[in-house]
Amino acid sequence: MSRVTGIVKTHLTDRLSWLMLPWIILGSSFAVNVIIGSLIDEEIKTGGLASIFIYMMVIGIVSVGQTYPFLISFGARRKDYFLGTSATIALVSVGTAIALLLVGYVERATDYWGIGLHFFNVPYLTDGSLLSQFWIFFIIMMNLFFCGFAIGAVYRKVGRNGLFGVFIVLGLALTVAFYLTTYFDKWGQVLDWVVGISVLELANGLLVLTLVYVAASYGLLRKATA
Amino acid sequence: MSFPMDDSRPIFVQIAERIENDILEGNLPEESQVPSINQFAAFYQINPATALKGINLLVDQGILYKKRGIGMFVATGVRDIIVGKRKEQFYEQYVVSMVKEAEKLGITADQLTDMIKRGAKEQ
Amino acid sequence: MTKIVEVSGLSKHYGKVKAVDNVSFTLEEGKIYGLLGRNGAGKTTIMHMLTAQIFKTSGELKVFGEEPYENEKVLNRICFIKESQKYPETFRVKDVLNVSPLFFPNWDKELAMALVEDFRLPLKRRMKKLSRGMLSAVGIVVGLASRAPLTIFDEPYLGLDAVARNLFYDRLLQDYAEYPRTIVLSTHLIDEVSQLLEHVLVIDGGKLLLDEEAETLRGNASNVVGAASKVEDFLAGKRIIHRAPFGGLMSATVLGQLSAQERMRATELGLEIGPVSLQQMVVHMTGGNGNSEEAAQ
Repeated sequence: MSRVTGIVKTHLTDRLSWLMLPWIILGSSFAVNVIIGSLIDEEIKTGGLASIFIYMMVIGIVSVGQTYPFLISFGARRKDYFLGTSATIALVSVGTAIALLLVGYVERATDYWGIGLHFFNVPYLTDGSLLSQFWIFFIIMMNLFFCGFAIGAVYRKVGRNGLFGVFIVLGLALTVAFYLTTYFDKWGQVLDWVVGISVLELANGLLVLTLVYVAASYGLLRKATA
Repeated sequence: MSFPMDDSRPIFVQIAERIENDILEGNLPEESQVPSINQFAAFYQINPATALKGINLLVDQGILYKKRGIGMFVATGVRDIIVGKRKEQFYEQYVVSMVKEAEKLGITADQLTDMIKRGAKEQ
Repeated sequence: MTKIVEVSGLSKHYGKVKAVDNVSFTLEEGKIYGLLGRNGAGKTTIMHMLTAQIFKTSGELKVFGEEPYENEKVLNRICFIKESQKYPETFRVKDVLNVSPLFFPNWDKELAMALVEDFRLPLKRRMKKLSRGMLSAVGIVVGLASRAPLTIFDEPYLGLDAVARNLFYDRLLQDYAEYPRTIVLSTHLIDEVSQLLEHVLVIDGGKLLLDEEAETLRGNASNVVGAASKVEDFLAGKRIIHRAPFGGLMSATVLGQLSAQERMRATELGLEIGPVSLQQMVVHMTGGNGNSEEAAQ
C-alpha cells in the first residue's frame, strides 16, 4: 500500500494542477458572472459551474502523459500507479464536491449574492437532497476525469493514430445510432426518456460509464510502456 | 583524473608496480601501513576489486602482509626483494633486447660495454 | 556470488528490426558493470526490459530471481536512471528529491543534499528549465542517493563538464565502497569510466559481443603493424577485430594474448606490436568495417 500512497503524494506535489487551478478557473468564471449580474437587474442562471467539471477531464488527459512515464521509471507498478491515481482523483472529487455544496449553501443564504446570480445552484442538478447533490457532483467529476484518463491511456498505449482510430470508431457508432433512430422514427421516445431521467438515475448511469472508462484505462496502462 | 592508468595493461599490475615504486623510493618505509583498498580505489579512481587484486598480488609475494582488523603493512626486508625482481625485469626488458639489436647492427659485446660506460659517464 | 540478473535468449523485435537479438548474460551482486556499445546498439532496450518498462519478445529474464513485471519485490530494489527521463512539467528539482524516497526504500537524504551541493543544483528551479548537464546531475543524485541494490545509469554524464564527471566518479566510488551494490554504467564513452568497471558487456547490433572481466580484457588485444602480407601471415587463425591497410602496410588489431614465441616471431618478421586500450578495443569491435571476422586459416 505504501507505494499507492507514494503515488498519491507525487500527484499532489503538483498542487497547482490538482488543487488550485480548478478553483482559479471556476473563480474567474464566477467573477465574470458577478460583474454581469451587478450590471443587469434580471436573475441570472449560468452554466459557469461546468468549467470545474470540464477541467477534471483535462487533468485526466494530461496526467497520464505527465506522470505515467515518470512514475513507472521510478519503479512504480502499473497497478499501483492506477490505484494511486484513482485515489487521488477520488480525494479531490470528494473535497471539491463538499466545497461546492458549501458555497452553494452560502449562495442561497446570501439570497444569491444579492444580485440574483444562480451560479452554484443549478436547476435539476441541485434540486435533490444534500446527499444526492454530493453524489452527482462527485460522480460527474469522476466520470469526466476517467473519460480523460482513458483518452490519455489510449494515446499512451497506441499513440496518436490509435487515438484517431478510436474516435473514428466512436463517431461511426454514433452516426449509425442517430441514423437508426431517425429511420425507425424513435426520436420522440428518446427525448421522452431523456427528459424523464432523474438526477439519481443520471448519477447511476454515469457511474456505470465511469466503470467502463476505469476498466478500459487500466487494461491499456497494464500493457503500456514507459 | 590525478593519476591516469594505462588502459592497455591490467590495472591491478600497475597498482602493484606503483606500490613497489613507493617502497623503492622510500615513500612507504618497511613496517609502515599501506592505504586501504578503498583509499586506493578513491585515489586512482579505480574499481575497488581491481585495487584488491593489485594488493593481493603483493601479499602473495610476501611484500605486504595483513594485520587482522588493522590493515596492510610493508614487510621487513622487502626492498631487496623488489630491487632483485626489478633487476631481473631490467635484464629481460632492456638488456636482452639491446643485445639483440646490437647483434643486428654487428656491435660486439665489448663495443656494447664501452657504449654503456660512455652513456653512464655522460649522464 | 549471488546472481542479481539472469538473462537468457532475450530478444526484442520491432517488426523486422531486431533491437535485441538472443542475448544472454548474468550480473552478480556487488559488482560495477559496464554496458558498452554504440548509440542504438540495444543497450537502452535491454535496460528497459530489465526494469519491466517495455516487454520482451522472447527469452528468459530474471531480476533478483523473479520476473520484474508488476513485481514490487523486484522493482523496489532497482533504480534506473534514464538518459531521457521525463519529469512532470511543474516539478522542481526539490520535488523530484521529495518524491524519490517514496519509491526508493534505501534513500539517503543527507547524501542527496550533499550531492546537490556538490553539483550546485538549484533546488527551486523547474526540471524543464534545467540544462542537459543539470538534468544529468539530478539523475546522478537520485541514482546514488537511492542506494538501490541494482542501480542502472544510462549515459549518466551527458552534458556534464570534466569537473562534474570527475565528481561523479569520486562520489560513486566513495558510496559504493561504503554501501556495495550492483551498478551498471551504460555508455558509449568508454574512456573515462573504464577504470571503474569490474566487468564489461559489449553490445553491438542487438547482439552481445563480449562478456568479460575488465582486467582480463586489458592487455588482451594487440596492434600489429608491418607489411600487409606478413601481418596476414602472422595473424592467420587469430581473431582480428580491425584491419587498417596503409599503402603496402597494414595495421591490424588482434584479440588474445600473444605468447613470447609469437612476439619473437613477429620481431623476426619485422612486425611491430603495440598495446591496445579497452576503449580502442571496443571501438574496433563495434566499428562496422570488417569487424570481428575470423582470419583465413
